[in-house]
Amino acid sequence: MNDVLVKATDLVGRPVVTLDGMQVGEVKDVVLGLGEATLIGFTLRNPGFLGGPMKETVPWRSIHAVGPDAVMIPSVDATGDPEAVDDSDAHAATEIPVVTDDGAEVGRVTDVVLATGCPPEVVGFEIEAGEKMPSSGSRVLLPIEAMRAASSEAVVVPPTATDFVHDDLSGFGAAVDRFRASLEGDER
Amino acid sequence: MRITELSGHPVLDIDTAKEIATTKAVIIDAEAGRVSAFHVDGDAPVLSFDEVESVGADRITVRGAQLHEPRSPAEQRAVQEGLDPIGSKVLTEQGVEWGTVDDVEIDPADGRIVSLHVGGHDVPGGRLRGVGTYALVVGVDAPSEGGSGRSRSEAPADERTRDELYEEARRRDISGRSKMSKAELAEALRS
Amino acid sequence: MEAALIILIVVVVLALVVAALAFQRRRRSGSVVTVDEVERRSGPGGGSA
Repeated sequence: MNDVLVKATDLVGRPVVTLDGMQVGEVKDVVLGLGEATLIGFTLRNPGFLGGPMKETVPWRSIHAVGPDAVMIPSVDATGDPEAVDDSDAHAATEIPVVTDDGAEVGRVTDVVLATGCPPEVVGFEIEAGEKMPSSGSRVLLPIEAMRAASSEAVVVPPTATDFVHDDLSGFGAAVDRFRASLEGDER
Repeated sequence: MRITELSGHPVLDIDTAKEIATTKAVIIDAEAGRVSAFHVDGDAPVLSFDEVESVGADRITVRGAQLHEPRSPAEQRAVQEGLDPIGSKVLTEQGVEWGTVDDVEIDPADGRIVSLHVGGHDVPGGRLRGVGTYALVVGVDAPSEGGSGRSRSEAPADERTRDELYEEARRRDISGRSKMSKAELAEALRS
Repeated sequence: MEAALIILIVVVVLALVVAALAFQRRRRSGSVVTVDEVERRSGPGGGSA
């Protein structure tokens, strides 16, 4: 995987800057479409300690690059209106229960892993094991293909999903590649 | 010539032997890859680079040049926000911070940015994408449009020839000369 | 003398409360969310960079 991976919660508060060197604002909400494994875009807030929400948004098409220190957009004209990134019916992506095929709740989503390519994609979830699990409280990264389905209400995983967990972001890209390769191998 | 040497430089009109202004900061036109003007302390805030006779070690000399109000968007922004490239944050177009601008090396003949000194590294001037209030933005590769001559390092012989061509173009007041590469200048001078 | 000290303490406490509230508000404003109906999605392969 060539795309840089980033955790969605790390993007909150990141400066949004144009290629002309002007800051438009900071990332307020990271709006995802978990069912389609996509990034819809960002809503913005004014920079600074007391910054409130802005009406401008950054739809995914307007993203030039997502870097560790800033989200780059081509120009101020690239921002969209509130309808371009509509999070009025949105649900929190963290705290979504993770449930196995047979109805056991094994944990909850604590973060979402994005690949910052073109277009940006959801490639995995960070899940915290629930109280009933032996590894209660520990966090693992799971590729999205290891899941049966995802929505704002639940993330469904087959029992075999635990074979593909990973514990840090730096190796996660390679783990996702191996998992995808193994899926193709099964199909032949 | 480094622009830190140019701040607080008096601007001397050599025809009247009078100082008409003192420089505060340089105004960079990122698209053209050059210093297009100076933000000055004078009757008006802007002195265009093209109106400068010479950028010397101790003075900037002019001959009857007119200070003016900001015209281009770059000039307006620089004057309104008090932009100074020195000390400005540097951000790549991939969203990575590289530190702050320590100095900028320019060609005193035409104001072309040769390189940016950022945190001990030299960034070729052709990579400059934008100059704003938040940061200077640099590309990882040289931009494809409008920079064919600037982005490659030129051998000393080529530098002199380009300077000579540029001076000739300046004397003949050929428009757009600051944006032209050596080849383009030669072409323009031939007609 | 004592009155001035009391006023100073009250001002400092108020400032801390305001700062804490502002910090809390800022923390809460901004999160990762998901929507269930993706209307405007037109498939991969678009975008800049």
